[in-house]
Amino acid sequence: MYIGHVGAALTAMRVRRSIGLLVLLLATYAPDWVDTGLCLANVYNPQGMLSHSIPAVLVFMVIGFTAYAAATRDWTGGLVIAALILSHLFLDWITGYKPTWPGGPMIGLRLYSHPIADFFVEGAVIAAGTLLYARTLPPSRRPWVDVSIMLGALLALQLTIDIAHMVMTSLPKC
Amino acid sequence: MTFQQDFFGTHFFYAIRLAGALLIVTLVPLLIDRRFRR
Repeated sequence: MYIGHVGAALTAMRVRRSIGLLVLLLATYAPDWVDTGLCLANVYNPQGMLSHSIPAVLVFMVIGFTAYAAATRDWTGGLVIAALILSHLFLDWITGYKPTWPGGPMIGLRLYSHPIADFFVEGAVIAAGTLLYARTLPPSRRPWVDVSIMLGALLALQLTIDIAHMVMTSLPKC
Repeated sequence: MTFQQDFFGTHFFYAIRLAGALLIVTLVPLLIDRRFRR
């Protein structure tokens, strides 16, 4: 999943308003940031065993929970961060094709191969997250404008990615 | 091999591209949120 992960972060903001959006966005994309580091170090695994497998994500969850809880003394917030990191795995199983554990099967619905379906599924996650996030905003005379700006920007990003998938035959991550 | 051919196939290029994409998807919602809460 691409921008759908932002939808998960916006949902988490509704769950625990004290957590900053930057922290939530870093947590929701944690496995992809790990992929960036692996790519830079020239040890990237195309299947994502070190970044998107169940054991890898469990390690990131423990690190995320410990780091956030230790820094803020907010244990519930740490659990939200861990759950958000876990959500990356579940959302990627909808759209991608990811490893389970070393020697285990690859699983996923591979919606990336169907960009239009991917856009609607990710759009639904983005829309749900944005609507929940809207409840965290300060009172506004035109709240629907705020929701529309956030929703429109995120859907535009998602559309750009899906069009790129339709136009390009191959879009390697690393 | 030109410089372009050398650079665009490197892991460094792909890592920069991936980091750039992640920065964009982080900064866009973050900046919009900041504007809402000003």
